[in-house]
Amino acid sequence: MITLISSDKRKFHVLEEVANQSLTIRDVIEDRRGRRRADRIILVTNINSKIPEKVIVYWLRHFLMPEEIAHASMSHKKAEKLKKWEAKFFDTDIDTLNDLILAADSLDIPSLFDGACEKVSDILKNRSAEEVGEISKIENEFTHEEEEEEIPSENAWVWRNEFA
Amino acid sequence: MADADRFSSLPFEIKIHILTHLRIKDAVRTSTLARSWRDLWTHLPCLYLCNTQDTLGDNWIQRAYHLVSSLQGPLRWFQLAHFRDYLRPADDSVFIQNLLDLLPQKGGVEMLDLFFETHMDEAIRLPSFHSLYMLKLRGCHVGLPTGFQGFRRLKTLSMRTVGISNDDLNLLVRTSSNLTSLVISDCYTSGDPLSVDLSLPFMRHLEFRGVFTAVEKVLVVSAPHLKQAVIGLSHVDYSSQN
Repeated sequence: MITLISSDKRKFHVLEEVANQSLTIRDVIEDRRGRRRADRIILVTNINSKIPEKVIVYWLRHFLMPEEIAHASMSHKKAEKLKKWEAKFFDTDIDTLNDLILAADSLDIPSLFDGACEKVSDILKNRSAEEVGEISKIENEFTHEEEEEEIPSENAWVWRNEFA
Repeated sequence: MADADRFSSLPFEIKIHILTHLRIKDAVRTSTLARSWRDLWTHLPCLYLCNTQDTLGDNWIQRAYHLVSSLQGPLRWFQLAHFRDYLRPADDSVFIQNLLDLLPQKGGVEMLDLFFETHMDEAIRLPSFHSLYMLKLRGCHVGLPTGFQGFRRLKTLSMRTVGISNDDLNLLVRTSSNLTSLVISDCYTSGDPLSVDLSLPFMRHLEFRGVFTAVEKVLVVSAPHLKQAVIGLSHVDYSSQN
């Protein structure tokens, strides 16, 4: 068992085999093998407690089948089920996605990182700037005149809805 | 503000990673999201541009040219494709040439893929690339730049239905001494019959096939690492001295 401590000082106890899905944690465990129990505590300083919960849920769902995922040998039914589960898992607010990406990046969990990034690109796909702005709460910092002035008119066609 | 602008707080590399999942139109649109996204797409390391309606549409080549000229680079992968469902304007070869000439200024292009489903008759001249390791050509007429020094890092060369002069073909193959895979399929030369001597120290895969207009000789002089060779020609004098 290892202990993760989030930036807001909450502790999460996780089976080593489960936490191993983070390559960063795996390396740390490997480095500290054979040492005292106190050394089996890992500080995850840049992550608030909401995220470790999410990450651990993700780990547990993937824990039983890492081999199958790696070798793409999963049965069709199982793969479909996992896909559905992941769609639901990533269907969350932008802040959480953002934190998940950062966590997956620093903990080195490739599948989680790719999944979260893909979800963000899905949000950005086929949407006008205003629509995306609404979803992501990103404030559009520049004025309209500035936009028209600075964005080269040669590339302005991307805003036309000629492909709709 | 920090809360309202969460996407912008992602590191540069991650934002770029997200952009690479998007089609070019959507990627460019992200420039109005926030100031930190404004020029982001111009740092895209891989670009896939084609003429289908959901990508560039009818003005494909002009649009492709302007997109590439807006890039700040470094651009590593570049793919340009034209599919036959849509007519190609007759004067687009000039734009294609200008576009290609822009590429070396955008950083070290490593992969170049030109795909023309309807054959392009006017010859295009490949620029000099210093870090090119993969070159794939289909459906075009190509020539080499004057004073061609070779694509020294080229590992994979694939040419399908490509027109190239015999001198250029030999120069290209001779100077690309690091080639590990060479595919020449349904290519043709104007004038001289195709004749090529291959001496490739690292070659693993060789494919020569199709109906050539005129093939005189394909001679494999030396290829110690050759694992697989597919030769499917008529009138070929195939011999190996190794």
